[in-house]
Amino acid sequence: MSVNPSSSLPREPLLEVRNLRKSFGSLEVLKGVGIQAAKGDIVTLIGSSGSGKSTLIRCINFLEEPSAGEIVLDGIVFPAMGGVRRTRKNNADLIALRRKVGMVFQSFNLWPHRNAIENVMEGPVQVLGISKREARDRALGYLEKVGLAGRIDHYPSQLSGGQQQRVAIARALAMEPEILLFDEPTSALDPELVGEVLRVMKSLASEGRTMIIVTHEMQFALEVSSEVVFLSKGNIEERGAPSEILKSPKSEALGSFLQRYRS
Amino acid sequence: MLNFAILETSAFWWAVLDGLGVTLALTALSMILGFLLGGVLASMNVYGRPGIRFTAKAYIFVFRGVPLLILLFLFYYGLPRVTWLRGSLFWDLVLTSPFRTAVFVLTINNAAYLGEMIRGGLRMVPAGLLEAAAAVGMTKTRAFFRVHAPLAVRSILGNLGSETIAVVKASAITSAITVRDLMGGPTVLGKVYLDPLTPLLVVGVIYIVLVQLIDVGTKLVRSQLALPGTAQSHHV
Repeated sequence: MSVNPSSSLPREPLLEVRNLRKSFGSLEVLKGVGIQAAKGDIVTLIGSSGSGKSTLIRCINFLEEPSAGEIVLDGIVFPAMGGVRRTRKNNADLIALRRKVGMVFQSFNLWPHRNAIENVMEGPVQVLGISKREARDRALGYLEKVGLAGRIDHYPSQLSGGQQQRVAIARALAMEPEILLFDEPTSALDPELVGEVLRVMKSLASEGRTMIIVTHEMQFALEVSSEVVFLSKGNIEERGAPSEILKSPKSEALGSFLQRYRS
Repeated sequence: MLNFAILETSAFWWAVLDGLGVTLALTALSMILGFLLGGVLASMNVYGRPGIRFTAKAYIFVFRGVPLLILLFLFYYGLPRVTWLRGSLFWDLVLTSPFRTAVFVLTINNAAYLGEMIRGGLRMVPAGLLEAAAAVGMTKTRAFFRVHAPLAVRSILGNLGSETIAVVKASAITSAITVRDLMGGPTVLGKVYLDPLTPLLVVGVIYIVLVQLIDVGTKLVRSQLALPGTAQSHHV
């Protein structure tokens, strides 16, 4: 199988989010948004808090149940259930989707009763069913990749925020997903720890991994994104190449949003 | 004058020893079975749909509300009057033996308390940790056993110790349905020797020792299971 080599050719999207809607009670947080990512794309979602960007990324792996619309991954359609209870079959499909989609959270969410390497091994052993020995080798490899080979038996509480987030990235990588979702991965970090996490993410970007990133790091977005999507009040207000969006905003909403970052 | 002659009979000390075994068995069995049933109730409460949640809540409402002594009498003296129960599995397995009736009653009673306790523990686990489990593709059941339950149990270990202590002491009441536990065995002998006082003093002291041992045991288990970097792991 060959992957389309040139980005100038129209490519099959690996992930497509179609007309996604999400309401919490009477509050509509997403009002029908769509995004696409082909293999190797890095789509960055920006917007002020309450714009719906975190909800959008959480809907991609159904941590948040969308109210309407659908997620298409690898040509397989996962429709919103619209409040209908999932059947056993639906749940099995959901698990299949989540195996292919890794996620990194704002608050790391490492399991506190497992040390670093156990956190990374857990998914491969429990979900993919690979042997502990193999999972351990795999986990070691990814922990090394995020620069934490020397911390494998530290528990989350014994690691700094930046280290925890890097373990969390290794945990997501160990599932060898097709897409990585990052939900504000540096927002909970002390400023001096942001860099180490962004460096790891940049190295992932340079490997050609497909990533959807919610972030407030505009410089980072400018450097790595293939597309920047600006959300405002549940709609996509503007989207395009990073330099276009971040340097010459067209809408007033995006203009004033970016203004707040410069000052 | 006080007369401690009973202390010089081997029959008395055998009764103490046997009774101790019975008390420990009652406590251990009813704590383990009650914990399992309580875990089911707690999961029904936390994960269940409204109907299931209501069932769990109703169970806990009833069995936390009824005094243990009433439950014991109900199952030991009351239910055997229900003739159609005779010959049933429940009759054979439980009602025919005071010990097994006591285990049964303590279990359903413990389950109500432990169910509430475990529910509290489950609620204390941050939602993000379960989302992380879901995000790597764990089923709800797997996430429960790998993440939710282990963390919940850690957070209630201290309460489990206190509950065990309460059960050790509460189990003395089963002597009322002729169980020869630490309370029942020696005090029956006291009647034979016309000395009601000495057996009570002796078993009273043993209960105190038991409670202390459970306390120490709980602290040991807590420090074993404590997560590194948390306050509990510092030995005192």
